[in-house]
Amino acid sequence: MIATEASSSSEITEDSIYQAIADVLDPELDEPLVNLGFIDRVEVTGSDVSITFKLPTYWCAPNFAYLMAADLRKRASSVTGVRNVRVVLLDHCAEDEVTSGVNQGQSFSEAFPGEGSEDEHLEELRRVFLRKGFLMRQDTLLRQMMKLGLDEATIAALRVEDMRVDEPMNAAFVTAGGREYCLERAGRSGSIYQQRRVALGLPHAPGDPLMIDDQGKPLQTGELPQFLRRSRSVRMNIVLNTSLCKGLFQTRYGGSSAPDDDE
Amino acid sequence: MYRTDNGDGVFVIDAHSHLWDASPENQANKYGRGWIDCFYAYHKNLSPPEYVWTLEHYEKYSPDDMVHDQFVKGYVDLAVLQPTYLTDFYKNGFNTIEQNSVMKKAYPDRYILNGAFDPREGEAGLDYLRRQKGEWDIKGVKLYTAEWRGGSKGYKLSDPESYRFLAECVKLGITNIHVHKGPTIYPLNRDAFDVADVDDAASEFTDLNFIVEHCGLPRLEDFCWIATQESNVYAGLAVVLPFIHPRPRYFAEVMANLLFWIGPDKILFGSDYAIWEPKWLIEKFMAFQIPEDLQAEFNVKMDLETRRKILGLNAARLYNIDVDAAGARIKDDSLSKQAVALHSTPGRSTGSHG
Repeated sequence: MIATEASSSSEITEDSIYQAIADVLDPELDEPLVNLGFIDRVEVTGSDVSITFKLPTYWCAPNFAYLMAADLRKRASSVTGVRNVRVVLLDHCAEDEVTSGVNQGQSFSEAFPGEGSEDEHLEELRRVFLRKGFLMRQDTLLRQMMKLGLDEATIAALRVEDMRVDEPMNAAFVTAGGREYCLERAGRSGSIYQQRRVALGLPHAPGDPLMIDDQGKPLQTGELPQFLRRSRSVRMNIVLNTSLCKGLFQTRYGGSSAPDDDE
Repeated sequence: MYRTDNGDGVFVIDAHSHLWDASPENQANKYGRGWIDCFYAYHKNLSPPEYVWTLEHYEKYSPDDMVHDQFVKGYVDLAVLQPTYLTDFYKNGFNTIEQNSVMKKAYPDRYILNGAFDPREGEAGLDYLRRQKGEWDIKGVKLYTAEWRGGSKGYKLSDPESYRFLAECVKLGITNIHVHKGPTIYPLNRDAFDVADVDDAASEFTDLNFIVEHCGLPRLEDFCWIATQESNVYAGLAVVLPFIHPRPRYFAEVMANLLFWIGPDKILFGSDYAIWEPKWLIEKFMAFQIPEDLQAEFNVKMDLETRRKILGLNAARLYNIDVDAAGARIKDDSLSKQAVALHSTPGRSTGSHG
């Protein structure tokens, strides 16, 4: 997210903060906190910003809560004119440690002493989930392509530039054999697929194969069933977790939660 | 015993159940409150509305409630009691082997009593394990690798201390190691949901069975992978099965995956009572079919034989239970009589169509 341009602190609005934090993810669910409804409120007083967030249960993993809080603070701080950002976690077993640690700019291991190499471990975990987010979107794309009748050899031959995403339409378009195929309701999956691929440092330039595994190895003819079983089990796990977390959040706080992706 | 519309009997072992006390009098601090509130959210979120209890009842139910919900109303023949200590949160513990033993004493033919260990307790912990074997002849233990204990934020099953305890289990003939790998159980600051440590321990201790409770959710796909590689790793369906109600399609995907990767012989039914009641879980499971597209993709099916294995026969094998003999012992007990009376009155719901 690009920092919102503001010539003076008086122009900082709740909206500009929401825009700045729009792509802060729940790492496990690979879904923005804003979409999940986990942002309780954003308050702006002059050049001071306060962001309050809450999670589906009292016991949600503190390490992930910490990542989310630190990301929120970093993004909101990047908005031009913002001087102080305070992030508050509510209704959580580690709310005090997370809130005070993050606002003092501490790392996770400083806020939760006694856990050695935890910070590197956390970054590693973040990558694990980016990888899963990548595979999950690949599953959606592959299945749509198969539904449209693309065969394995055709799919394996696709290059990065053969797919384009139309975000407003939420569709992805794939060109194969001189024909354009429309992957309906896969626009969001298509753009996240590309984003995760870049974030993971996987090949993503024009000319690179469109379908690669999470290590960057291109799909070879004959391997599609394995690709699909792996991607499906990853997607299944994430949608199940997301469904559980949304349901628990709704049970805890009421109101309606965002509908589930897919099926 | 569940009976299908054709009259086929299905012997049911509920491999995961608890008698807990989370009443305000027993709560030691805010964590005790937070714990049961979280459990209640799971209960309320995934149960059909007519099976949602009041919070007060949920905090503390009686042994009579429990046997009624499991054996009279709920088709269950035998049940395994899995402890959950939480002595830092509850004055007398949340659900210790001592608490569970009340059920075992009152209904010895109906319950299998499991114990627990914590490798961080060293010699004293080993002594406690031996005492549990001596006093109750336990065949299994339930472990929480993500439990906070003093300064420690959890342990791994692959730690050297854990291996000492697992070796002791082999020696004592405690063969069923139920490992909690499931969602939101304890605060943790490393990835205690990671199932890789089960993989290591299972390769090292091939005489032990590792039942991964909640199928490793939220790491279900990693779990499927390790369970495929290790022949002594099993899937406990608690927490996963309730999705059959609000999210039948997700549940079908999970079952198709489990059957494909792990096979029908290594999946165990468990209600996690009192988080969920067995009655509706079993009725819905008996009526459940894997949609055709998933059957085709995974080449798996859900027939009566598979249902029987998951609902009882797999657990019977792990706990050396002869289901005919066990069935004969309970056939005429007071609970069976009540069950027959209940299910033969008008408006009964013994059939697979509820």
